[in-house]
Amino acid sequence: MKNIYILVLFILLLVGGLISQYYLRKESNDLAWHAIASVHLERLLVIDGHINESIVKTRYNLENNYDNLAANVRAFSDEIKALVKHMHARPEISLAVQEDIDRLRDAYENKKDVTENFKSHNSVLKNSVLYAPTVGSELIKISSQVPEGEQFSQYLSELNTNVLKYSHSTFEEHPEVVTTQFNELNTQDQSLPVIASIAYSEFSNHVQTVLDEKPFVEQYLATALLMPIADQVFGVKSHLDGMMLKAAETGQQVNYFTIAYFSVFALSVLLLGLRFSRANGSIATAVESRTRDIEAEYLKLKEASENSDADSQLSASDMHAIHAMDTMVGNVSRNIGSLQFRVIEMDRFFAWVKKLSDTFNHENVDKAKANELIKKVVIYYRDLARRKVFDEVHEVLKDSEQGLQDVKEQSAGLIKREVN
Amino acid sequence: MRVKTKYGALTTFLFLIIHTAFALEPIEPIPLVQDVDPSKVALGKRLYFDQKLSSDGSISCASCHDLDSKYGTDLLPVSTGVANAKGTRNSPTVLNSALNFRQFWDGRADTLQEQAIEPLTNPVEMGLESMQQAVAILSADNDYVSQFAQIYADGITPTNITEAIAEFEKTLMTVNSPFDQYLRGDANAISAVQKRGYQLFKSYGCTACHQGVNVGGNMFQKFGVLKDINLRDAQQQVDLGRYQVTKNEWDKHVFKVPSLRLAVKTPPYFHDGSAATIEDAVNTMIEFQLGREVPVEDRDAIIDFLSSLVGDLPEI
Ligand code: HEC
Ligand code: HEC
Repeated sequence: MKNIYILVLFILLLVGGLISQYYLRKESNDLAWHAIASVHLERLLVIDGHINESIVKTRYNLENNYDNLAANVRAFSDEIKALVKHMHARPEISLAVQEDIDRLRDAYENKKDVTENFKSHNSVLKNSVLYAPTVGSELIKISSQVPEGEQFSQYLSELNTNVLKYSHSTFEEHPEVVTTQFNELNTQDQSLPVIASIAYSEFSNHVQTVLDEKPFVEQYLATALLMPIADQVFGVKSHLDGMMLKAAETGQQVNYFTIAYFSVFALSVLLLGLRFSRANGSIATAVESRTRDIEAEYLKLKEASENSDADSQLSASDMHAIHAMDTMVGNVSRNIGSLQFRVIEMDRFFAWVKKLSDTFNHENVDKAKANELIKKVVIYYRDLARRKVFDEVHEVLKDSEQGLQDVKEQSAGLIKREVN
Repeated sequence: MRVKTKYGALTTFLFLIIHTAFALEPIEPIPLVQDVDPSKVALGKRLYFDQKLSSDGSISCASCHDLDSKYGTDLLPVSTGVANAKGTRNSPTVLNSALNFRQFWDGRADTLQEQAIEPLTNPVEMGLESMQQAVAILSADNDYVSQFAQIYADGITPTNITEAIAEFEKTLMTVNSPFDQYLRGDANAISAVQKRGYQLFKSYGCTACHQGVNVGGNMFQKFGVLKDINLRDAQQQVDLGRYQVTKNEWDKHVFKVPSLRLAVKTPPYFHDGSAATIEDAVNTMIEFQLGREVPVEDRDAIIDFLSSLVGDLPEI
């Protein structure tokens, strides 16, 4: 009899064990399920951040094409698909979570549209901005030849028309933004030629002040040039870091990568040196000597890659690294060339402004008003872009962030409820 | 970026000038290697050239996207499919199409895989009734059955068919163009005129739209941004492009900006094949997309630059 009790006890223990096993496993399955959902959401937030960053960067020419932006939008879409698939893999998801997923998906669709809209508007805006200096310089040239500056307003109106054309095809829904801007500008139209001439002389005084503070200009030029390059250098460098690590682990091709690594490192040090140098003498000379240094470094790099173990097969990722380095060095040398060119152009530009200020300085007009105007001309392009495009982008950003946050909270809540 | 506020307008102006000049190149070289699965590529290649996959056995993908001398197109204004049926759009090149952010002139397919369903089942292209018919045709062929089985556990399915085709298309890159070599640092890879053409291509603003690794293919734009496109040759533009997909008013006459990598090799031009020569096409761009006037020698230098974008045909 005793044996039977022991047997029953044993069976009870066994059943209890099995049942708790079952619950434990179910719970840990749940945990895994939620953990994966959280990972997807985390990634969505990160990619969303990348998209926003790209939008701002492409707006201000810190990124010079939309490939990155497009790739991130694609990544976002893939991630959402993965999340939805994961969520639906479990039959009993709560209604609240389902609604949040739907909201998130809507927000994404909306954001995709706005991103597309932003891209096309931003491109045309850039062309308008590119065109403005051309028209502007034309207009100054002519008005300096004709003292009354008759053609001035004609050209300015051409500029206006162009921008208006642009805005019609972009800000269809909010024409008042554009109209207000132009009404403001037009109220001053009568006195435009005179005011503008004075504005430019005021402008030239600014330039003179800046020229007196030359280190600022140098630093500005160097920074503007080097920021994007430095970004890239460090991108390649971290790539190489990874490859070095791999090479060290597998004991392969260490030689070649050591050399490549140090060449690129030397290059980046040189570039940073240039960025922080307050070169004595003209910038052009400094740039020229740096260019020679960089070219020498590049030759070393090339040689290193050619002398690397000829027998060892280059893997796809090696090829990618070489491709990245070549492209980077190409960028560096072309940018240096363009800096030299720009320096010459800037010199001409300053000389030209100086001449202009000499021509107009004796005129007797309200300088404050003139200043106001010139500020407007420069700023209104920015406003055009910011107000509409950015308002729209901003709203959608908020929307999609809210959607993500909601889903995150819901999913966190679920985890808590079900775990407790 | 450090900006001293005290200089106000000037700093802003300098910022515009300098930043436009110094940002990285808007065009990037095509990577020399692609990560693909060789067995899927082999299968996809076979499917790409197989005329069996059409309703009358006369048409394959290659009929409209010839990978040899025609650089991935048919060089016709609009394509001809089964039973000589005419489509309404110009066939874009499949070469480098994996680099495009969406597929088709109106971007209605997100990926190459999604895209491939359409020609197979389009009545004026390959004319199959459904993807199931494609599965049936291939299932009757023992070679295909075993080739699919080696790669896919679930054998011949619509998804696997389109995936294999897409994988093959990813290998169709024209790498190493003279311009790519130039971007990688070989200053002598392109001529002086081509260099000037590239500067003009940037300074006139072509790169605002034709940019990125595929020199296009990464955004939508209105055809006729600065001048009503209906004014061109008094031709009414019947194809509303992306509007047909989204029904948004502002998407009328909006198309995917096409890649210019092989433009000099693939006339005629535009979504409807309405420009016969590259000169025509660029003139239209200058007038309707830029709203500017450009001297003929500048235009020709730009075209000369475009010819430096042509890379090696892929080995098939
Ligand atoms: C009857 C001619 C024809 C056939 C056959 C054909 N295509 Fe096309 N293809 C076209 C046309 C026309 C377009 C443009 C249609 C549009 O944009 O609406 C196109 C577009 C494409 C695109 C998009 C390219 C881009 O840049 O947007 C790809 C990729 C493509 N085809 C691949 C294929 C594949 C793969 C096949 C075989 C399964 C195929 N095509 C069969 C005519 C054809
Ligand atoms: C505002 C954007 C924009 C600008 C700026 C622009 N393009 Fe285009 N381009 C387009 C669009 C959109 C198309 C397709 C139009 C269509 O087929 O409906 C196109 C088509 C083309 C084509 C025909 C390609 C083909 O395969 O059919 C060529 C060539 C071309 N552009 C060259 C240029 C050149 C050169 C410039 C500068 C002078 C330029 N584009 C400026 C948007 C632009």
